[in-house]
Amino acid sequence: MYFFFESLFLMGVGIIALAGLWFLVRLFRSPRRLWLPIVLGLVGLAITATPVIYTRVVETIDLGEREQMVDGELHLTLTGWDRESYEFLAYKRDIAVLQMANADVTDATLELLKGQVRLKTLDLNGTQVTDQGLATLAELKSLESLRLRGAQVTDAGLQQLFDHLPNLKQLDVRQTAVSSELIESWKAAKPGRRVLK
Amino acid sequence: MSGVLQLDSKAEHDSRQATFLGRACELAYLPAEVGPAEFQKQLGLEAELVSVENTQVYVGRNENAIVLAFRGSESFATIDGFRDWLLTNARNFLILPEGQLGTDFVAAGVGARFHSGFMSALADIWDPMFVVVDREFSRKERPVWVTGHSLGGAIALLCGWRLQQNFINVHQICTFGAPMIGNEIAAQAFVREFPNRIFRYVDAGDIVPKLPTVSLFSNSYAHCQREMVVGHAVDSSLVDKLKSLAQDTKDEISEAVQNSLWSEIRQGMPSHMMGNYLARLLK
Repeated sequence: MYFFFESLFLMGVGIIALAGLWFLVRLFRSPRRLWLPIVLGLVGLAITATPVIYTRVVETIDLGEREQMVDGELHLTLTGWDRESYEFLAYKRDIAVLQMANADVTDATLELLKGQVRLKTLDLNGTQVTDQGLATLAELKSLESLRLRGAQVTDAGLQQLFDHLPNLKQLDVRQTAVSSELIESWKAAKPGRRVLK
Repeated sequence: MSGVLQLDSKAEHDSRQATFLGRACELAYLPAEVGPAEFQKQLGLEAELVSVENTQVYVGRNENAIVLAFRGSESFATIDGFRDWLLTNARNFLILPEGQLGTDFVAAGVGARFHSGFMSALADIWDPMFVVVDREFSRKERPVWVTGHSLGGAIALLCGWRLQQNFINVHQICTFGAPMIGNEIAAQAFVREFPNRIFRYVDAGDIVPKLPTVSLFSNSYAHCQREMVVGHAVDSSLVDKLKSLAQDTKDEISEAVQNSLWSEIRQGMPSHMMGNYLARLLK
Protein backbone atom coordinates (compact mmCIF):
# COMPACT_ATOMS: atom_id res chain seq x y z
CA MET A 1 0.00 0.00 0.00
CA TYR A 2 2.71 2.46 0.98
CA PHE A 3 4.84 1.43 -1.94
CA PHE A 4 1.83 2.10 -4.12
CA PHE A 5 1.39 5.54 -2.53
CA GLU A 6 5.01 6.38 -3.00
CA SER A 7 4.92 5.31 -6.65
CA LEU A 8 1.76 7.32 -7.14
CA PHE A 9 3.32 10.37 -5.55
CA LEU A 10 6.47 10.17 -7.65
CA MET A 11 4.46 9.48 -10.79
CA GLY A 12 2.39 12.57 -10.11
CA VAL A 13 5.51 14.69 -9.65
CA GLY A 14 6.87 13.28 -12.90
CA ILE A 15 3.71 14.14 -14.78
CA ILE A 16 3.72 17.69 -13.42
CA ALA A 17 7.33 18.14 -14.56
CA LEU A 18 6.48 16.73 -17.98
CA ALA A 19 3.46 18.98 -18.29
CA GLY A 20 5.57 22.02 -17.34
CA LEU A 21 8.09 21.16 -20.01
CA TRP A 22 5.37 20.61 -22.58
CA PHE A 23 3.79 23.92 -21.64
CA LEU A 24 7.07 25.77 -22.15
CA VAL A 25 7.73 24.10 -25.47
CA ARG A 26 4.23 24.96 -26.70
CA LEU A 27 4.55 28.49 -25.43
CA PHE A 28 7.69 29.24 -27.40
CA ARG A 29 7.20 27.05 -30.46
CA SER A 30 3.50 27.26 -31.25
CA PRO A 31 1.39 28.95 -28.59
CA ARG A 32 -1.95 27.31 -29.29
CA ARG A 33 -4.00 24.76 -27.41
CA LEU A 34 -2.06 25.61 -24.30
CA TRP A 35 -4.85 24.10 -22.21
CA LEU A 36 -3.61 20.62 -23.10
CA PRO A 37 -0.43 20.74 -20.99
CA ILE A 38 -2.32 22.64 -18.29
CA VAL A 39 -4.88 19.85 -18.04
CA LEU A 40 -2.09 17.30 -17.90
CA GLY A 41 -0.46 19.32 -15.11
CA LEU A 42 -3.70 19.31 -13.15
CA VAL A 43 -4.03 15.55 -13.61
CA GLY A 44 -0.50 15.19 -12.27
CA LEU A 45 -1.37 17.39 -9.33
CA ALA A 46 -4.42 15.28 -8.54
CA ILE A 47 -2.33 12.09 -8.67
CA THR A 48 0.33 13.64 -6.42
CA ALA A 49 -2.28 14.77 -3.94
CA THR A 50 -4.13 11.47 -3.76
CA PRO A 51 -1.92 9.78 -1.13
CA VAL A 52 -1.89 12.92 0.98
CA ILE A 53 -5.65 13.28 0.93
CA TYR A 54 -6.17 9.58 1.45
CA THR A 55 -3.88 9.28 4.48
CA ARG A 56 -5.22 12.43 6.08
CA VAL A 57 -8.90 12.31 5.36
CA VAL A 58 -10.07 8.89 4.23
CA GLU A 59 -7.89 6.44 6.13
CA THR A 60 -8.45 6.10 9.83
CA ILE A 61 -6.31 3.77 11.87
CA ASP A 62 -8.22 0.57 12.50
CA LEU A 63 -7.88 -0.48 16.12
CA GLY A 64 -9.03 -4.04 15.56
CA GLU A 65 -6.77 -7.06 15.92
CA ARG A 66 -3.80 -7.36 13.58
CA GLU A 67 -3.13 -10.71 12.06
CA GLN A 68 -0.27 -11.66 9.76
CA MET A 69 1.53 -14.74 8.56
CA VAL A 70 5.29 -14.67 9.07
CA ASP A 71 7.27 -17.61 7.66
CA GLY A 72 4.15 -19.75 7.73
CA GLU A 73 3.33 -18.87 11.34
CA LEU A 74 0.32 -16.96 12.60
CA HIS A 75 1.14 -13.75 14.49
CA LEU A 76 -1.83 -12.14 16.25
CA THR A 77 -1.78 -8.77 18.01
CA LEU A 78 -4.50 -7.46 20.30
CA THR A 79 -2.32 -4.95 22.20
CA GLY A 80 -3.99 -1.57 22.34
CA TRP A 81 -7.13 -2.65 20.46
CA ASP A 82 -10.54 -1.10 21.04
CA ARG A 83 -12.56 -4.33 21.29
CA GLU A 84 -13.68 -5.94 24.52
CA SER A 85 -14.26 -9.62 24.02
CA TYR A 86 -11.38 -12.08 23.81
CA GLU A 87 -13.77 -15.02 23.28
CA PHE A 88 -12.77 -15.49 19.64
CA LEU A 89 -9.35 -16.70 20.80
CA ALA A 90 -10.98 -20.01 21.76
CA TYR A 91 -11.71 -20.68 18.07
CA LYS A 92 -8.35 -19.55 16.68
CA ARG A 93 -6.02 -22.43 15.88
CA ASP A 94 -2.25 -22.55 15.65
CA ILE A 95 -1.32 -19.12 16.94
CA ALA A 96 2.50 -18.85 17.10
CA VAL A 97 2.86 -15.30 18.39
CA LEU A 98 0.19 -13.65 20.53
CA GLN A 99 0.53 -10.09 21.78
CA MET A 100 -2.19 -8.98 24.18
CA ALA A 101 -0.53 -6.52 26.54
CA ASN A 102 -3.81 -4.99 27.74
CA ALA A 103 -4.92 -4.07 31.24
CA ASP A 104 -8.23 -5.97 30.85
CA VAL A 105 -6.50 -9.32 30.34
CA THR A 106 -6.95 -11.58 33.40
CA ASP A 107 -6.33 -15.18 34.43
CA ALA A 108 -9.76 -16.01 32.96
CA THR A 109 -8.64 -14.70 29.56
CA LEU A 110 -5.73 -17.15 29.59
CA GLU A 111 -8.21 -20.05 29.89
CA LEU A 112 -9.09 -19.29 26.26
CA LEU A 113 -5.56 -20.26 25.21
CA LYS A 114 -5.93 -23.92 26.14
CA GLY A 115 -4.90 -26.09 23.22
CA GLN A 116 -2.62 -23.51 21.60
CA VAL A 117 0.11 -26.10 21.15
CA ARG A 118 2.08 -23.96 18.67
CA LEU A 119 2.21 -20.82 20.82
CA LYS A 120 5.86 -19.76 21.09
CA THR A 121 5.69 -16.11 22.04
CA LEU A 122 3.20 -14.52 24.42
CA ASP A 123 3.11 -10.86 25.42
CA LEU A 124 1.20 -10.24 28.67
CA ASN A 125 2.88 -6.96 29.66
CA GLY A 126 0.72 -4.72 31.82
CA THR A 127 -1.99 -7.36 32.38
CA GLN A 128 -3.69 -8.49 35.60
CA VAL A 129 -2.31 -12.02 35.27
CA THR A 130 -1.39 -13.79 38.56
CA ASP A 131 0.27 -17.07 39.55
CA GLN A 132 -3.05 -18.77 38.85
CA GLY A 133 -2.82 -17.67 35.22
CA LEU A 134 0.74 -18.98 35.03
CA ALA A 135 -0.59 -22.41 36.02
CA THR A 136 -2.77 -22.29 32.87
CA LEU A 137 0.23 -21.30 30.76
CA ALA A 138 2.20 -24.28 32.11
CA GLU A 139 0.26 -26.45 29.66
CA LEU A 140 1.52 -24.57 26.61
CA LYS A 141 4.58 -26.70 26.00
CA SER A 142 5.89 -24.78 22.98
CA LEU A 143 6.17 -21.49 24.87
CA GLU A 144 9.65 -19.99 24.50
CA SER A 145 9.13 -16.32 25.11
CA LEU A 146 6.93 -14.75 27.80
CA ARG A 147 6.40 -11.12 28.77
CA LEU A 148 4.93 -10.37 32.19
CA ARG A 149 6.04 -6.80 32.87
CA GLY A 150 3.97 -5.31 35.67
CA ALA A 151 1.89 -8.49 36.21
CA GLN A 152 0.94 -9.74 39.69
CA VAL A 153 3.19 -12.80 39.56
CA THR A 154 5.51 -14.14 42.27
CA ASP A 155 8.44 -16.53 42.64
CA ALA A 156 6.09 -19.42 43.47
CA GLY A 157 4.13 -19.09 40.24
CA LEU A 158 7.21 -18.64 38.14
CA GLN A 159 9.02 -21.61 39.70
CA GLN A 160 6.04 -23.78 38.82
CA LEU A 161 6.16 -22.48 35.25
CA PHE A 162 9.89 -23.21 34.99
CA ASP A 163 9.26 -26.80 36.13
CA HIS A 164 6.68 -27.35 33.40
CA LEU A 165 8.25 -25.45 30.52
CA PRO A 166 11.86 -26.51 29.90
CA ASN A 167 11.76 -24.82 26.47
CA LEU A 168 11.19 -21.37 27.93
CA LYS A 169 14.11 -19.14 26.94
CA GLN A 170 13.09 -15.52 27.24
CA LEU A 171 11.31 -13.77 30.06
CA ASP A 172 10.26 -10.21 30.84
CA VAL A 173 9.59 -9.75 34.57
CA ARG A 174 10.24 -6.03 34.95
CA GLN A 175 8.12 -4.29 37.60
CA THR A 176 7.10 -7.55 39.25
CA ALA A 177 7.74 -9.07 42.69
CA VAL A 178 9.92 -11.80 41.18
CA SER A 179 13.27 -12.11 42.96
CA SER A 180 16.66 -11.72 41.34
CA GLU A 181 17.85 -14.95 42.98
CA LEU A 182 15.23 -17.05 41.21
CA ILE A 183 15.96 -15.39 37.88
CA GLU A 184 19.72 -15.74 38.19
CA SER A 185 19.55 -19.43 39.05
CA TRP A 186 17.14 -20.06 36.17
CA LYS A 187 19.42 -18.24 33.73
CA ALA A 188 22.48 -20.07 34.98
CA ALA A 189 20.81 -23.47 34.53
CA LYS A 190 20.85 -23.32 30.73
CA PRO A 191 22.87 -21.15 28.33
CA GLY A 192 21.01 -18.80 26.01
CA ARG A 193 18.31 -17.80 28.48
CA ARG A 194 17.58 -14.09 28.61
CA VAL A 195 15.62 -12.02 31.06
CA LEU A 196 14.49 -8.43 31.21
CA LYS A 197 14.43 -7.67 34.93
CA MET B 1 44.44 6.11 30.74
CA SER B 2 44.34 9.90 30.81
CA GLY B 3 42.32 11.51 28.06
CA VAL B 4 40.03 8.50 27.65
CA LEU B 5 36.43 9.26 28.51
CA GLN B 6 34.69 6.88 30.90
CA LEU B 7 31.14 5.58 30.85
CA ASP B 8 29.65 4.87 34.28
CA SER B 9 26.53 2.70 34.10
CA LYS B 10 25.90 2.87 37.85
CA ALA B 11 25.32 6.62 37.83
CA GLU B 12 22.11 8.44 36.98
CA HIS B 13 22.11 10.07 33.57
CA ASP B 14 24.52 13.01 33.70
CA SER B 15 26.52 15.25 31.39
CA ARG B 16 29.54 12.90 31.56
CA GLN B 17 27.51 10.08 30.06
CA ALA B 18 26.04 12.46 27.51
CA THR B 19 29.53 13.70 26.60
CA PHE B 20 30.78 10.15 26.15
CA LEU B 21 27.84 9.19 23.96
CA GLY B 22 27.97 12.49 22.09
CA ARG B 23 31.61 11.84 21.27
CA ALA B 24 30.68 8.36 20.07
CA CYS B 25 28.07 9.94 17.76
CA GLU B 26 30.68 12.29 16.39
CA LEU B 27 33.18 9.47 15.79
CA ALA B 28 30.43 7.48 14.08
CA TYR B 29 30.83 9.81 11.11
CA LEU B 30 34.40 8.58 10.57
CA PRO B 31 35.10 6.03 7.83
CA ALA B 32 35.97 2.43 8.65
CA GLU B 33 39.71 2.99 8.14
CA VAL B 34 40.14 5.56 10.92
CA GLY B 35 37.06 5.09 13.11
CA PRO B 36 38.10 2.07 15.20
CA ALA B 37 41.43 3.66 16.18
CA GLU B 38 39.70 6.84 17.37
CA PHE B 39 37.06 4.88 19.32
CA GLN B 40 39.93 3.07 21.05
CA LYS B 41 41.93 6.22 21.71
CA GLN B 42 39.16 8.56 22.84
CA LEU B 43 36.59 6.21 24.38
CA GLY B 44 38.50 3.02 25.16
CA LEU B 45 36.11 0.99 23.02
CA GLU B 46 36.93 -1.77 20.59
CA ALA B 47 34.68 -0.80 17.71
CA GLU B 48 33.66 -2.23 14.39
CA LEU B 49 31.64 -0.59 11.66
CA VAL B 50 28.54 -2.32 10.35
CA SER B 51 27.44 -0.70 7.13
CA VAL B 52 24.54 -1.50 4.84
CA GLU B 53 23.33 0.82 2.10
CA ASN B 54 23.20 4.28 3.65
CA THR B 55 22.91 3.14 7.24
CA GLN B 56 25.97 2.75 9.42
CA VAL B 57 26.53 1.87 13.02
CA TYR B 58 29.67 1.46 15.09
CA VAL B 59 29.35 -1.34 17.60
CA GLY B 60 31.84 -0.54 20.35
CA ARG B 61 32.52 -2.58 23.43
CA ASN B 62 34.77 -2.96 26.42
CA GLU B 63 34.39 -5.13 29.51
CA ASN B 64 31.75 -2.86 31.02
CA ALA B 65 29.63 -1.70 28.13
CA ILE B 66 28.34 -2.24 24.63
CA VAL B 67 27.80 1.04 22.78
CA LEU B 68 25.91 1.32 19.49
CA ALA B 69 26.49 4.64 17.74
CA PHE B 70 24.43 5.31 14.61
CA ARG B 71 25.30 7.86 12.01
CA GLY B 72 23.06 9.31 9.37
CA SER B 73 23.48 8.83 5.64
CA GLU B 74 26.94 8.98 4.12
CA SER B 75 26.77 12.63 3.23
CA PHE B 76 24.66 13.60 6.18
CA ALA B 77 27.27 15.90 7.74
CA THR B 78 26.90 18.16 4.73
CA ILE B 79 23.95 20.40 4.25
CA ASP B 80 23.30 19.01 0.78
CA GLY B 81 23.17 15.45 2.04
CA PHE B 82 20.68 16.47 4.65
CA ARG B 83 18.61 18.34 2.15
CA ASP B 84 18.36 15.26 -0.04
CA TRP B 85 17.14 13.24 2.82
CA LEU B 86 14.69 15.78 4.09
CA LEU B 87 13.05 16.96 0.91
CA THR B 88 13.67 14.83 -2.12
CA ASN B 89 13.50 11.67 -0.09
CA ALA B 90 10.58 12.71 2.07
CA ARG B 91 9.40 9.18 2.69
CA ASN B 92 7.69 10.00 5.90
CA PHE B 93 4.57 7.91 5.67
CA LEU B 94 3.59 6.52 9.03
CA ILE B 95 3.53 2.76 8.67
CA LEU B 96 3.58 -0.58 10.36
CA PRO B 97 6.13 -2.77 8.58
CA GLU B 98 5.47 -6.33 7.43
CA GLY B 99 6.95 -9.61 8.65
CA GLN B 100 8.88 -10.18 11.86
CA LEU B 101 9.86 -6.50 11.92
CA GLY B 102 6.15 -5.70 11.94
CA THR B 103 5.46 -8.10 14.79
CA ASP B 104 8.27 -6.55 16.83
CA PHE B 105 6.87 -3.06 16.40
CA VAL B 106 3.14 -3.76 16.58
CA ALA B 107 3.95 -4.81 20.14
CA ALA B 108 3.65 -1.06 20.76
CA GLY B 109 -0.07 -1.41 19.97
CA VAL B 110 -2.22 -2.03 16.91
CA GLY B 111 -2.56 1.74 16.44
CA ALA B 112 1.17 2.50 16.53
CA ARG B 113 2.70 3.82 13.33
CA PHE B 114 6.31 4.57 12.49
CA HIS B 115 8.27 6.65 9.98
CA SER B 116 8.71 4.48 6.91
CA GLY B 117 12.16 5.84 5.96
CA PHE B 118 13.70 5.26 9.40
CA MET B 119 12.09 1.85 9.57
CA SER B 120 13.58 0.72 6.28
CA ALA B 121 16.98 2.04 7.43
CA LEU B 122 16.69 -0.14 10.53
CA ALA B 123 15.57 -3.10 8.44
CA ASP B 124 18.65 -2.69 6.22
CA ILE B 125 21.14 -2.73 9.07
CA TRP B 126 19.43 -5.05 11.54
CA ASP B 127 20.64 -8.53 10.63
CA PRO B 128 24.40 -7.88 10.40
CA MET B 129 24.25 -5.55 13.41
CA PHE B 130 22.27 -7.96 15.57
CA VAL B 131 24.76 -10.78 14.89
CA VAL B 132 27.51 -8.64 16.45
CA VAL B 133 25.43 -7.41 19.40
CA ASP B 134 24.02 -10.87 20.11
CA ARG B 135 27.49 -12.40 20.04
CA GLU B 136 28.91 -9.77 22.42
CA PHE B 137 25.92 -9.89 24.77
CA SER B 138 26.06 -13.69 24.86
CA ARG B 139 29.75 -13.60 25.69
CA LYS B 140 29.11 -11.29 28.61
CA GLU B 141 25.91 -9.48 29.56
CA ARG B 142 26.74 -5.79 29.93
CA PRO B 143 24.81 -2.52 29.88
CA VAL B 144 23.86 -1.70 26.28
CA TRP B 145 23.86 1.98 25.28
CA VAL B 146 22.27 3.09 22.03
CA THR B 147 23.00 6.52 20.66
CA GLY B 148 22.91 8.53 17.47
CA HIS B 149 22.88 12.00 16.03
CA SER B 150 20.06 13.31 13.84
CA LEU B 151 18.79 10.54 11.53
CA GLY B 152 21.07 8.21 13.50
CA GLY B 153 19.19 9.19 16.67
CA ALA B 154 15.91 8.20 15.09
CA ILE B 155 17.32 4.80 14.11
CA ALA B 156 18.82 4.46 17.61
CA LEU B 157 15.34 4.70 19.12
CA LEU B 158 13.91 2.07 16.79
CA CYS B 159 16.96 -0.14 17.31
CA GLY B 160 16.61 0.06 21.11
CA TRP B 161 13.00 -1.06 20.85
CA ARG B 162 13.84 -4.06 18.69
CA LEU B 163 16.76 -5.08 20.92
CA GLN B 164 14.38 -5.32 23.86
CA GLN B 165 11.94 -7.27 21.72
CA ASN B 166 14.85 -9.69 21.43
CA PHE B 167 15.34 -9.63 25.20
CA ILE B 168 18.58 -7.68 25.09
CA ASN B 169 18.25 -5.19 27.89
CA VAL B 170 18.92 -1.62 26.77
CA HIS B 171 20.46 0.43 29.54
CA GLN B 172 19.94 3.81 27.94
CA ILE B 173 19.03 5.46 24.65
CA CYS B 174 20.53 8.89 24.10
CA THR B 175 19.85 10.92 20.97
CA PHE B 176 21.12 14.28 19.75
CA GLY B 177 19.00 16.46 17.52
CA ALA B 178 16.86 13.51 16.46
CA PRO B 179 13.60 13.90 14.56
CA MET B 180 10.38 12.13 15.56
CA ILE B 181 9.90 8.49 14.69
CA GLY B 182 6.23 7.69 15.08
CA ASN B 183 2.76 8.68 16.17
CA GLU B 184 1.45 9.38 19.67
CA ILE B 185 0.59 5.74 20.41
CA ALA B 186 4.13 4.72 19.45
CA ALA B 187 5.64 7.45 21.65
CA GLN B 188 3.57 6.35 24.66
CA ALA B 189 4.66 2.74 24.18
CA PHE B 190 8.30 3.88 24.18
CA VAL B 191 7.76 5.63 27.50
CA ARG B 192 6.34 2.41 29.02
CA GLU B 193 9.12 0.30 27.55
CA PHE B 194 11.97 2.65 28.53
CA PRO B 195 10.89 4.48 31.70
CA ASN B 196 13.49 7.22 32.34
CA ARG B 197 15.94 5.57 29.99
CA ILE B 198 15.50 7.72 26.88
CA PHE B 199 17.38 11.02 26.81
CA ARG B 200 16.74 13.15 23.81
CA TYR B 201 19.13 16.10 23.56
CA VAL B 202 17.70 19.03 21.72
CA ASP B 203 19.35 22.36 21.07
CA ALA B 204 16.79 25.08 21.42
CA GLY B 205 17.93 26.50 18.09
CA ASP B 206 17.87 23.16 16.30
CA ILE B 207 15.02 22.73 13.89
CA VAL B 208 15.40 19.02 13.11
CA PRO B 209 13.84 17.68 16.33
CA LYS B 210 10.71 19.58 15.37
CA LEU B 211 10.46 17.51 12.20
CA PRO B 212 8.46 15.98 10.73
CA THR B 213 5.91 18.25 12.32
CA VAL B 214 5.74 19.88 8.95
CA SER B 215 5.56 16.56 7.20
CA LEU B 216 3.82 16.97 3.90
CA PHE B 217 2.15 13.61 4.18
CA SER B 218 1.20 13.44 7.79
CA ASN B 219 1.73 15.63 10.81
CA SER B 220 0.58 13.25 13.49
CA TYR B 221 4.08 12.60 14.82
CA ALA B 222 5.00 12.67 18.50
CA HIS B 223 8.25 12.65 20.49
CA CYS B 224 9.43 10.19 23.12
CA GLN B 225 10.43 11.59 26.48
CA ARG B 226 12.60 12.83 27.95
CA GLU B 227 13.78 16.03 26.42
CA MET B 228 17.04 17.65 27.53
CA VAL B 229 17.34 21.16 26.19
CA VAL B 230 20.74 22.72 25.59
CA GLY B 231 21.47 26.18 24.23
CA HIS B 232 19.00 29.00 23.93
CA ALA B 233 15.93 29.49 21.84
CA VAL B 234 17.07 31.63 18.96
CA ASP B 235 13.89 32.05 17.03
CA SER B 236 10.81 30.37 18.37
CA SER B 237 8.72 31.86 15.61
CA LEU B 238 10.65 29.81 13.07
CA VAL B 239 8.57 26.73 13.68
CA ASP B 240 5.36 28.69 13.40
CA LYS B 241 6.63 30.11 10.15
CA LEU B 242 7.32 26.61 8.91
CA LYS B 243 3.96 25.35 10.00
CA SER B 244 2.11 28.06 8.20
CA LEU B 245 4.24 27.43 5.15
CA ALA B 246 3.27 23.80 5.19
CA GLN B 247 -0.37 24.72 5.65
CA ASP B 248 -0.29 26.91 2.59
CA THR B 249 1.07 24.14 0.44
CA LYS B 250 -1.05 21.25 1.65
CA ASP B 251 -1.14 19.20 -1.51
CA GLU B 252 1.96 19.80 -3.56
CA ILE B 253 5.66 20.13 -3.13
CA SER B 254 6.64 22.66 -5.70
CA GLU B 255 10.24 23.64 -6.27
CA ALA B 256 9.57 27.13 -4.97
CA VAL B 257 8.13 25.81 -1.74
CA GLN B 258 11.02 23.41 -1.32
CA ASN B 259 13.47 26.27 -1.65
CA SER B 260 11.74 28.66 0.71
CA LEU B 261 11.21 25.85 3.21
CA TRP B 262 14.85 25.04 2.84
CA SER B 263 16.11 28.56 3.43
CA GLU B 264 14.09 28.65 6.66
CA ILE B 265 15.65 25.43 7.81
CA ARG B 266 19.15 26.43 6.81
CA GLN B 267 19.04 29.29 9.28
CA GLY B 268 18.63 26.81 12.10
CA MET B 269 21.25 24.48 10.70
CA PRO B 270 24.43 25.23 12.69
CA SER B 271 22.72 24.23 15.93
CA HIS B 272 21.93 20.85 14.39
CA MET B 273 25.58 19.85 13.92
CA MET B 274 27.00 17.26 16.30
CA GLY B 275 29.91 19.57 17.12
CA ASN B 276 27.48 22.13 18.46
CA TYR B 277 25.84 19.59 20.78
CA LEU B 278 29.21 18.51 22.14
CA ALA B 279 30.31 22.09 22.69
CA ARG B 280 27.13 22.82 24.64
CA LEU B 281 27.64 19.74 26.83
CA LEU B 282 31.26 20.55 27.59
CA LYS B 283 30.45 24.08 28.70
